[in-house]
Amino acid sequence: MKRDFLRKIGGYVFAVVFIVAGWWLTAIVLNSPALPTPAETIRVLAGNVDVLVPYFWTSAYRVVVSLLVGTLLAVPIAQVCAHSRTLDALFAPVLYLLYPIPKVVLLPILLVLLGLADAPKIVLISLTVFFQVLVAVRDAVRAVPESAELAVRALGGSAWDEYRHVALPSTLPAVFTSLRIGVGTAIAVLFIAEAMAGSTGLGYFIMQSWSMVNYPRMFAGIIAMALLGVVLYAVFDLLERSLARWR
Amino acid sequence: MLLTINIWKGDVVAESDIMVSIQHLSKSFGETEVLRDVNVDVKRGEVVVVLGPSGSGKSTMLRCINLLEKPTGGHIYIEGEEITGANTNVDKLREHVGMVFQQFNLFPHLTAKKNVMLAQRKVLKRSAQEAERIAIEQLGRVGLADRADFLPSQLSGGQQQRVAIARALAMDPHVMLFDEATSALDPELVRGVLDVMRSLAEAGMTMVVVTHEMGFAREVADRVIFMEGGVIVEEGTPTEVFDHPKHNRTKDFLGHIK
Repeated sequence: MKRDFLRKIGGYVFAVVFIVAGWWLTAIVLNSPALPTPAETIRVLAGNVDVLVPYFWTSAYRVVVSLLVGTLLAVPIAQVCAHSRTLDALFAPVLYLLYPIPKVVLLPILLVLLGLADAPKIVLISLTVFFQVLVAVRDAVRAVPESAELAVRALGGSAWDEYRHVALPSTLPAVFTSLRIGVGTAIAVLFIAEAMAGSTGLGYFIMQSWSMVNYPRMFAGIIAMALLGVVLYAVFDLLERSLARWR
Repeated sequence: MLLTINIWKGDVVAESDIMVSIQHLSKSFGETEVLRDVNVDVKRGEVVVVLGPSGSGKSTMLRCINLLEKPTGGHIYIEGEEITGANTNVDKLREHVGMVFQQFNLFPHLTAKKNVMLAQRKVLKRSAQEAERIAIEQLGRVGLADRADFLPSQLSGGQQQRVAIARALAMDPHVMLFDEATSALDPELVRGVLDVMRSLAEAGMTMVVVTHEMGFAREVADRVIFMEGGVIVEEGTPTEVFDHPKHNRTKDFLGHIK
């Protein structure tokens, strides 16, 4: 147990060393102000923490709320779709057509309708997350064998028992997997939305620094955004491990 | 495997000797007729093995006994009470009819012991202590006392199926239905499950078993029923059906199996 833990930590330490070394080498080889060295970045990062923190929280707030909203809407709809042939027959083609559309193209419309603050960003990311979770959970529910439900009914269980003890536990891992994959997309969409409109969030911070040709500051923003992604990914990983431990 | 329950054998013979009575049962899915005028009586403590090719209606018949499938016509009585009437208490009925499926269908997120406890707590409203005591007792009965705290993913298919049997037994069923309980198992794991079923039969449990295990049918069954095309083609003792089948269709089927 302890050995496994140490090996894991060792793996992460190696990964960080590997990434930082690669970055350093690239920075030296490129020798361009656009890619500062890690040492320089850390200095700028430390110097800008006060400025960065509010931008970071704004972005974190937007992503977390969007992930929640998207998931909370998608899970029940997915369950209903998976259980009702009629509804699924009705929704499946709609889903099929809407799913591949990159939701980010709706940004200009949302900006016109909802203004420049949090609302258009949250709606856009929620939409992105919604479709990913919906498809993943619906397919996970479908993969539950019919006999699993029969077994619960044969034991005298109700429809709620069926949901609570069969459908929910068998779809929870799918929810977390789609969320972990979704974090990357969500942050990409967030960046574009913040870069395009408004004067808040890390996306704005990065593009503003870019336009001021303050590359170290820009890079500090990029690191902060990467950090946001890594932290969220790790949180979902931990949640999955503690809530879906049987896997 | 030591068995503690002996109450079924020679308990109440006077009141009603018939545990399950299926009369003129028919079942259709849309236009397709799956069961046609099926009549079966299962006596208390009797082990009835149902054989037949796939699609013969044997699983559907089994599922009608605890109303997982709703019969289209005919009547079914369990311990003298009609379950096909308009106001059957399905929950009450299912408490007394245990069922084991081809897929083990354990709750993947619960340990073996918790799997056996859950329905006792939720459906029979037993206390945690009582449910746990019975779970451990039933897991011991299927030879898995030492696996009580294992998750299904840590158990072999055969062990999972035995947990599923323990889970059904914990509900104190009066009759047990087995729907191809060993068909999904690797050959080397089949035996352990059949041994559990055999010891149940020896303890006097009333059982209706759909299976392809001819050896089990021959040794354990009191009566063998051969179905094809939704009807009962032939029935009798294992010796009658296996050694002296009367119908060509039975002969063909047994010939194919051998």
